[in-house]
Amino acid sequence: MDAQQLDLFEKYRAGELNQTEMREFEERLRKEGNFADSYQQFVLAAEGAEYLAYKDLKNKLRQANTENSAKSPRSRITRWAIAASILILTGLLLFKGWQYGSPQLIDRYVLEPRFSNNRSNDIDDWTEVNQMLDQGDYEMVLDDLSTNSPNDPFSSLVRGYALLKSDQADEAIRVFSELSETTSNYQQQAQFQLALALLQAGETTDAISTLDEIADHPDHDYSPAAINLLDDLNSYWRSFSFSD
Amino acid sequence: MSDEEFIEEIKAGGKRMDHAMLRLYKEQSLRVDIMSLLRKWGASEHQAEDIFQDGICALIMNIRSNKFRGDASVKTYLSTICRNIFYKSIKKEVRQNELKGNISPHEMDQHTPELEILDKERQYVLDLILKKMGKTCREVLKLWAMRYSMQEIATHMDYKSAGMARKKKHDCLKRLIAFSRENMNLIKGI
Repeated sequence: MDAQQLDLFEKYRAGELNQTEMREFEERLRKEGNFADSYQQFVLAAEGAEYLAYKDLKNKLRQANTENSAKSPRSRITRWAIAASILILTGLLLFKGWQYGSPQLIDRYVLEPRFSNNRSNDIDDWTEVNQMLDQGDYEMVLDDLSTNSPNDPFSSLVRGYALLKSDQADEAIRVFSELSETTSNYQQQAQFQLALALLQAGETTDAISTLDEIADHPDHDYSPAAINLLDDLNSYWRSFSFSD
Repeated sequence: MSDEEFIEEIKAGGKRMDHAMLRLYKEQSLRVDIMSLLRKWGASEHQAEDIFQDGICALIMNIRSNKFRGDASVKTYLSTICRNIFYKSIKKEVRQNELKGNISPHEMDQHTPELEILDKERQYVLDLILKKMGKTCREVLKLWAMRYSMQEIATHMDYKSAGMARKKKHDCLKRLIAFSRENMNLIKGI
């Protein structure tokens, strides 16, 4: 098949032959088997080339469709909605996890010393200590108690509270342990505070054991609080806490 | 863009053609109308999108090869092509009498050249054959099929002259014919 014949086939297929040329061409198609075969092969090849062109166009449209889908308002809204949902869900989980973190539980359950009916022989003015605690000046409270060196149970309770609030867990554990082993009026309160100090020190197992012990005694003043705190410590939300 | 302007851009080829084609493809009213028709006839959304794309490809090819002369509007012509493609795609699956309620016998009898290109089995064989061709030959033949002039092909392919482009086209076409001849039995079997 030479170039001249290819051009002739191309012109016939494109309808570019004049009437006379077309008649002659079709006459040859009818009478010359080889000519007809060659033309058939040319048509197949031309269709192959057209298919290449078609594929190229189709790829451009597909690409535009993909880009269009990504840019479409519906797609954008969906993506933003998903992103917002994930953010909200993550925020909710983190917030709930944060709520059930040890520092937050300690803040929620810690027992503030009651000054109204308590006095220490070694402290002249508890009002000043009370004010310092209210203002969060725990270090000043500890200094004050250290200077006056009171040795009564209430002073120990206040010292333990100030230690707990100023994140001095180990010292708070020591103070509350000693107090919880006495027979003072503050023994039960000190035992509960001890559980919180253990929790603050990261000794969660010991904290839970202490709380279990309190919870097992219905006559313990802080049994209900211990039960609630144990529930919170076992909460599903706590698994989302990063503070422990 | 008017139909005349659209046809002019398609005939210009190259980036102007691509731009006009994509503009038509993204024209919302046209898309909605044709997609609605296809969905009404029973095409899935994915199928309708595919047919719509095939229809535009066929329209472009027909404009380039002067088969579309502007007797009908571009929209009408494209709708007809899409309808024919849809008919062909479901012909094997749906009985004729189920179709007659939706598409008239006249429309069903239409057999347009562009549908030959879109036959999936034929595409498979053509893919096999075309893979044997080199990248340059595929590009030259693609441009030739899109009715680019030899001068345009020479410019696009960085050839020195239109004569060189013509020679390259002949060589590539002969190779494609030879490959097609080798696979004639396979092609006839479809």
